[in-house]
Amino acid sequence: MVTKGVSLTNGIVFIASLQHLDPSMPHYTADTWTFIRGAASTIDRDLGFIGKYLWHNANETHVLHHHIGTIPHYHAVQATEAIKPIMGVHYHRNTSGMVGIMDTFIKLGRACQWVESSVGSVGDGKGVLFFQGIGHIKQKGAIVKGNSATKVSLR
Amino acid sequence: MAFSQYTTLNDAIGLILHSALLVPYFSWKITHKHHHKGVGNMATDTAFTPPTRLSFAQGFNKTIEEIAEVAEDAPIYSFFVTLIQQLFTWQAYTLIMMGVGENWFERKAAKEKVESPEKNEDGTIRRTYGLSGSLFNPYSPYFNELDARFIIITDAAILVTFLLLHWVGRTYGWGNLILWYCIPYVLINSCVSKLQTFPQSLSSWFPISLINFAFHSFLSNTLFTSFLRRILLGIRIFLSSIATCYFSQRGNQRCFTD
Repeated sequence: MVTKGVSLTNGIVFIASLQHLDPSMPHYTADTWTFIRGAASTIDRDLGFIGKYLWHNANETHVLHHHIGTIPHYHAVQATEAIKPIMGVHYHRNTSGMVGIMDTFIKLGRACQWVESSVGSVGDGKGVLFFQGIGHIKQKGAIVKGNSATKVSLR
Repeated sequence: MAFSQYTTLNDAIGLILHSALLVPYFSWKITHKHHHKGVGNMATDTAFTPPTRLSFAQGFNKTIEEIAEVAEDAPIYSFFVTLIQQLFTWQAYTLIMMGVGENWFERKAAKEKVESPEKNEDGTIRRTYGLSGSLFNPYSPYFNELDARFIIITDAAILVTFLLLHWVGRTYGWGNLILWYCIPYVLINSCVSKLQTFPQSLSSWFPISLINFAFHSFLSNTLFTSFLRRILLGIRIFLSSIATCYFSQRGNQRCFTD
């Protein structure tokens, strides 16, 4: 409750961090990383009024920014619409809006604390690291289950 | 090239606007380029690189299980973490290499001519923070020899901003300076740090490292963790005993052994 109350006032300046953080998106070790994998592990979040009018859609078009960094912000919305059908399921977007993002933000703080490879992964799979957090562990009632068991999308 | 087709004009405008907000323009331009070149790569990314399980646990000098036990659902802890992040993430990022991939620490060790840097159990380099990795340092691991002069220009611009702020404070009063610049700075700053650096964001390894950084000098880790545990458990027991007393008729015995 304390966190929530404070975050609501402070949250407006807070939420932009979320473009590289989501339990559904992996990080990669140097061996398994490729540019396109890295660029696809970003997320667009809809920040409503703030994103649209104050931050020039920086959060709404971040996936595009990482694929084609030379497109200026004033064309980014249009270009994002264009890459959506091409990227298909690889395109991550959060449409919870300005209010829903607060909840997401609180959950992310618990869920995204460190990264580790999923339990039971073999070979190259070991180089794909997912977020894990104490919040997740506690939520599931069991400690150290590994990410595959506890992965929850917050979108 | 979103502003003009002339790089020099872009850089000039960028330098003025960034420096006015005390942001090192060329340093950030270069590290942001590295961020794009290695986004999501645990070794080469320069922003939002999360800790591994091992380094997260190392931050507390405890196992994950023990940390989970201590920090279980503690709103005050989350609040503390949030506050620290809001206020200091960006500064830590610019000053002591917070939230960057392990390759940069290897480069730092190479630049400082450390013969055999300390390794973690999983073979990665042990992170050593310090001002030599600062974005204001022309010879920090992010930059090559050709970049150095741009970093010096950046530093000069930041210095000019400080002088201007000082002049404003002297002329119009320090209270006005706080109202006009410092308060908006904190707001914009936390916005910026969330936007571009962390960590880690929310990458929780920043506060943990900061706690380490802050407490290592005058408290041992063990002491600190027991301190944290005591406070958190104390709050929980206090609240639950109040609740028990309030809602049950069984008397004090139960409250204080709970």
